[in-house]
Amino acid sequence: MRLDATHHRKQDVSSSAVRGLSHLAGLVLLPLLLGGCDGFLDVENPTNLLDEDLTNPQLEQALSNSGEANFAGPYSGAVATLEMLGDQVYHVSSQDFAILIQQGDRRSNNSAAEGSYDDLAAALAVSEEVVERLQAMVSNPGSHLGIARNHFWAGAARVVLLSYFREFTVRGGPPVRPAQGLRDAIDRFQSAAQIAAAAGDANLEAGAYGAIARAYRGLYFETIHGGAGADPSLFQQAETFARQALDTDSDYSVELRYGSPGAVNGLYNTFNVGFRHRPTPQYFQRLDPVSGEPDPRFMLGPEVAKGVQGEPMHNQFKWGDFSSPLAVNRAAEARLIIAEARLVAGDLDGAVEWINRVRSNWDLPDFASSDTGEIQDQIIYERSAELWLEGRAWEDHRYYEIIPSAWSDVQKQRGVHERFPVSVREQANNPNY
Amino acid sequence: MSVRDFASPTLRTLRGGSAITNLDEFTEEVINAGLFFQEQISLDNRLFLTAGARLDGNSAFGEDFGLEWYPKAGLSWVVSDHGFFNVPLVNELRVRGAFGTSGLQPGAFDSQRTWRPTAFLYGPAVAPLNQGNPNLKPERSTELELALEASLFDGRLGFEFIYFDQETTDALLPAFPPPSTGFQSSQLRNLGRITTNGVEIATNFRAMERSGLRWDLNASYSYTDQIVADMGGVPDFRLQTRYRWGHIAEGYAPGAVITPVADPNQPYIVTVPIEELSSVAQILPNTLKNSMGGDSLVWVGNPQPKWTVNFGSSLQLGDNLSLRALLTGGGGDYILSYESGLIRTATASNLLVAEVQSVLQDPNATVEARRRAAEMYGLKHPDLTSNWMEDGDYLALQEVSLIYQLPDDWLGRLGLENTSVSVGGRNLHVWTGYSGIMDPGAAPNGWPAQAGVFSANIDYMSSPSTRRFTMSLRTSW
Repeated sequence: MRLDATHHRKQDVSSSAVRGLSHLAGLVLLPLLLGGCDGFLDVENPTNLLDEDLTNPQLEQALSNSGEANFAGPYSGAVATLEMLGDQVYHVSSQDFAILIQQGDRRSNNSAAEGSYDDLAAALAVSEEVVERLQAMVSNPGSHLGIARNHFWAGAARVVLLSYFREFTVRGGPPVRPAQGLRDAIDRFQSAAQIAAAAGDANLEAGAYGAIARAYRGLYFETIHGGAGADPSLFQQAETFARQALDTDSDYSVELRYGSPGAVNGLYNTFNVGFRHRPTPQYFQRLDPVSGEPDPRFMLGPEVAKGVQGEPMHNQFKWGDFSSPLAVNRAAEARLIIAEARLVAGDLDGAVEWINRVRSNWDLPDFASSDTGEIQDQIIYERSAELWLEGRAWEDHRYYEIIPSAWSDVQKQRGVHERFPVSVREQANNPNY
Repeated sequence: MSVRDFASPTLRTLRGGSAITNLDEFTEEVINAGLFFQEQISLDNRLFLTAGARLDGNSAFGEDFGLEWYPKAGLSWVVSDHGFFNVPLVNELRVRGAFGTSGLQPGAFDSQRTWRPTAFLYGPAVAPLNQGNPNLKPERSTELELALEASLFDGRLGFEFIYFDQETTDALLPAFPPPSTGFQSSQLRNLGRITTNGVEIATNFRAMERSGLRWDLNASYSYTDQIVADMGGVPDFRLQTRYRWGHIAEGYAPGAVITPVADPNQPYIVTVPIEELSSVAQILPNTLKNSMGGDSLVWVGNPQPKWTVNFGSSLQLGDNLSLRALLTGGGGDYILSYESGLIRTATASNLLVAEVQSVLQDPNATVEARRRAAEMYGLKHPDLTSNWMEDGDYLALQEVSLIYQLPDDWLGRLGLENTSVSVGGRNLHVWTGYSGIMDPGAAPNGWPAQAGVFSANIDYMSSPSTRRFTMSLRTSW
């Protein structure tokens, strides 16, 4: 706390005119030097990029990749961890965040949920900004695949945020609730589809239509559970876009790419590398209800260990290694959405037909029924098998109000509609909270 | 650089990995130009005047800020050298005062919005790095210091009293932007005003001086009061997240822990009916709620000690033997015993967990016994920071040493001189009510560097100070 005030008792200091003049000259000259030379204090940043650097056309490719590069890790992390809310994976460690998720606890202060929110919301902001920057940079924004892809990731980030969180914010803005968030996502997917069509990328165009179908399906259920009742027109929209997706590319699959350097496939990393997470036994013991045989879509290896209560633990082989691409939207989901839409429309034969189109891809025997309840159960089963470890299980639990079996009684009583709040960091620093 | 996929567990160097997982290189350029000027004038060797100034320019300043002036001045007056001074027993008396300004500059690119190139297998990409703040200014502190120094009883008693009053404007403090902006690293921002004032008192006393015996004692005390007086339009904000609740809030000390607290009437909630409780994982903390139904945030304590003390003793026996001891102390702060919370989460061998679990897993345990166990755990639940805040007051016996200076004529024939042998101990004992891992007053390990001094009260991945005993032989030739 002491200043260096001079107080040497016997110090004898005298000033001279010459020294005084030299000090004066310095005092006058250096400010002139510092202030007069424009840019004297400017420095280069050879390690990182300044904001203005991102206007350099040489960065067009890097910007185009950035939405995916920033979204891939958080997406697979969320699917691996937050899907523990639904009956799909099992956790044997003593990590409290995982135990609480598996028990259905959806409070704040869960490190995994908070980290997922922060990373997904940040990735959403990157895609939004990249779109703006590329639109200002390139001469063909209407057919630029980088813009289309980032539109797509901006929409996908919204959808996955709303799978697990009750709301989200975009770039520090006000909270966006599910219905609005899904409509915003649809806007982004439509932009992606339009640009991808102009650029001739049928896979991305189809994937964007498929993503719109998923979002309309979500809107249908959000509307019901929001108390407004069923609006069949929303499922009609979902069906329209699902059909458009398949018409564009009958085998489309929009995937996030992984590999070192960069994000690794978090599902492989979680379920195969460590010994903390394993698919829930009920999944690898489940049989196809039609054939009575094991369903090949639950791709499990032999037992690798025992859990804490002696239960068998297996690796999954749906995602084969660290660099396995992870499907975000693919054709099989569009077919199942059409089946579901047919059921909502009362066309039971149509629903069964579309279920069997999915099953035939796996050489599974045809499903047959004329009972609405049975068909609905089969659709739910088909989704759980076909989209296993693809981030749809929790969503379907919520939409169909299926209480996960692993939840504690208190959480079961609270029901499935509660989602995680936005992270504490967002709430603490966003002036809209 | 980091690698993975080693061909064999015996390979332990970077070249043994078959896949590179991370590479990093960092270069930073900073220009800091300055001019320092100081003049000292004395009048009759009794009055000393010092005046000076510093002019700084730095590449880290925001675009709208050029050069910064930091003037200072000091006056020192030896009152006892005047003829009119005739106070019995006081041999020397000096008063001094100083006024000065100083500055703290932000990091090289803290003012700028920056992006980092990121690794992506399929081509280059960028990721947000620093949100940037074009209005970032250097922190500026103005301090007034008044002091009195006296020597009494023919120099046997020395005394110094200092009062200081510091005002820091545009204080540079790290704050996290909302993650939804894309930027997750902390960003420096300027606050309005932080005031710091306090006193320092030091004294030394020759308690005994006889033939062959000299005993010197010294003691010092300091008290500091630091408050965020004005946020300068910036809303109160939290420095860290999750279990760390240090805040920058107007009217409180920087880093003040303002946090949810347990509801004393019902400190727990359970995820299963109480009669079905079987695990501590089913017990959750229950907090005091505000009128909106959210957690009430309550000031719990400050992160930095408000006061410190030092006591020293030096006993000289004859010309050759001396015994020295040093006690240090401090307090007025609260420490987050985060490590203890983690241990309670992570291990079932912890006494509290074991005790609670033994009740919950006892099929004959009554509902009342289960309720008491839940309450016991709820009051120490690891999820609630305030359950783990503890008073950081301490007094430490920091050092005791015995030194024997060998007479030169003993070893002079070997050409050795100034030879001494000593035995001593450091960090010998701490008197404190704090129950965590680290020693209060010792710098903890492992806290995030960006949170700086405001996290110095977080006991996370720390270890207590090592008790050391030394024997040494020193000589010269």
